Amino acid sequence: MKGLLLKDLYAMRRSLPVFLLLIVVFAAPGGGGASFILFYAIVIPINLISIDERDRFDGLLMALPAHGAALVASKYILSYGYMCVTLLVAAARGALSQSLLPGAQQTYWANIGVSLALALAMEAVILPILYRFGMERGRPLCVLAILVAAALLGALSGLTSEIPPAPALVPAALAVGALLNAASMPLSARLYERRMTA
Amino acid sequence: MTEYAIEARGLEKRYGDFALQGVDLALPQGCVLGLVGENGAGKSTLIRMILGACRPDGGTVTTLGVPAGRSAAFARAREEIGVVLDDACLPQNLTAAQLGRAMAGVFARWDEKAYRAFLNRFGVPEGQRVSQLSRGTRMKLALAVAMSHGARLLVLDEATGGLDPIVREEMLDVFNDFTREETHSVLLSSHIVTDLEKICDYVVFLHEGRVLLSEEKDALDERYALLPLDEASLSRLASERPGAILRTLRAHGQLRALALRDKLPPDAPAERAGIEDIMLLLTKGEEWQ
Amino acid sequence: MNLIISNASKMPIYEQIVGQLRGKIASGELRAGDVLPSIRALAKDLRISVITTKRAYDELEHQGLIVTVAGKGCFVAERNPEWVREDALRQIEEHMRQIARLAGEIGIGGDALAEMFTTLMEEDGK
Repeated sequence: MKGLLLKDLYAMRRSLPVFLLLIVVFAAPGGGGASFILFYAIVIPINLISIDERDRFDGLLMALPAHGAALVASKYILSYGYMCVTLLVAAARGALSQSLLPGAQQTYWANIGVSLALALAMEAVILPILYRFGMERGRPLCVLAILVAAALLGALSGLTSEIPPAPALVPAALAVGALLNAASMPLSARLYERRMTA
Repeated sequence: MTEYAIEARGLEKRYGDFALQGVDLALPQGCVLGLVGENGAGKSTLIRMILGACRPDGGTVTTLGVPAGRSAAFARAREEIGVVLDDACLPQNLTAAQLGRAMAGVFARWDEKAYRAFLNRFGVPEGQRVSQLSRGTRMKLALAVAMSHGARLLVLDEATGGLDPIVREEMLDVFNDFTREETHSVLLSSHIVTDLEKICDYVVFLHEGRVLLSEEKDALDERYALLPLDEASLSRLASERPGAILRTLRAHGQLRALALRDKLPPDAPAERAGIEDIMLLLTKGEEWQ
Repeated sequence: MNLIISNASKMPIYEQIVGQLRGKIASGELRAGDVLPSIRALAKDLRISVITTKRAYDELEHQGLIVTVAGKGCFVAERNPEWVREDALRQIEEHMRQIARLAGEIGIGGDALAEMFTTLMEEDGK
């Protein structure tokens, strides 16, 4: 597991600074917003899966005392890592705004919470699709999933401009996102193994 | 009792119109087995089954004493299997040094010192990314990985294909030294028969999904012979010694006959039949009428 | 130990090993009690099959030229070189007697036999 995580980190080492830059630019004060950049988390596993496909890593995997599940888990973990960094930057920004402009930060946090839940849900849906169909056939399906997510977000932000999202709704949404991921990871692993051993 | 590093019985696998049928293979510990066969004969499929990466439709395969498959027990067995595949399948963005660090997290008994020593011996640069290496160097890197985690069994699928003779010789040296240890075994698949001829104890010849021949390599020499005779002499010999001539093949205007050595008269002009000749005549030759 | 294996030779590899080791024992290059390389080591040094090497050692042991001590390895048997020579000579004599008998049966004389033998030796390059 550790080795495969390390391998994935090395594999995307050159794009890592770009991701960090994006987070800082968007999540920092004056940026486009942490909500937007959270969705970018999905790009990490998509990149890594296409790198694995190019490298024909499944060939090497059959030589290693590790299961496909570990390779799949590494993708999820790295995108969670990305989300964590984003949240940290967002939290710093939130704290800064709070100190400069004490008052209602609730909308800010609620927005981030809902975005996180949506990003998690998107990840939970997209990765099994990619592992089931492979990059080539899976990609159009993913674009569709992203469009749906964007539409949902748009609808939500349309709603929130009138009524701020009820704070009670956020934990519920996050719980759903977490649950979806808990189901998604083993599903992806199974789909990947099935494709590998065919 | 002989212990087997690999023991496969009656393996079956069907993919569309390709089928592996009733394949038996046994690699005794401490030996080198060459798996020969043209491209598409089913070598890679067989190797995938031996490595537990592909489930057979029928039959069983035991590798290092553990039934090959997706079990946790077999995942542990893989700690002791060093694998080098056709095109290495190494992560292109990583350098050899990074690959070593990643493998240290994968293999429980990763030996970084041994790995560095192999890189050094093979002349693989540590700091260059895999994508910048030549095919030969990539294969050497894959071999360095395979040799650096305490493997007892090396499995090499077409690992020497497309390499220059010097590199091939270097790799054969490594396999030869590896099997100085009595518990170390090698399975080597190739369609370059001369490599196998140099190093194998056993030869298994796969043709169209079936085992056509499975033999001790040196016994092949004693069993088969080539007869450089014309048709008339062959007919005479065939009527004198029924069953002596197995196959004949006319190529480049020359008639070649594969014969069973022990059925030939002592004065027959029997020549040594290499594995390549035997393969060619058994698959492409005509049966003697 | 210096053995030369020829892949081009018509003689099976295990017979080449048996013959050369017998020669070394007969010439006194290898003496009683000398330790021989292990089957595996010899096979790997000569780059030949382990099975073939084992077969050669089995044959040598069968002929009483070497002994295997479990766990210790293979040694040249306690026989003096003359014995090995004499044993080889005895075998040669035996074969010659058979040849003489066969030749007599079909009426081939000693000169013709000698000529045949010279030709054979030349063919084998000796």
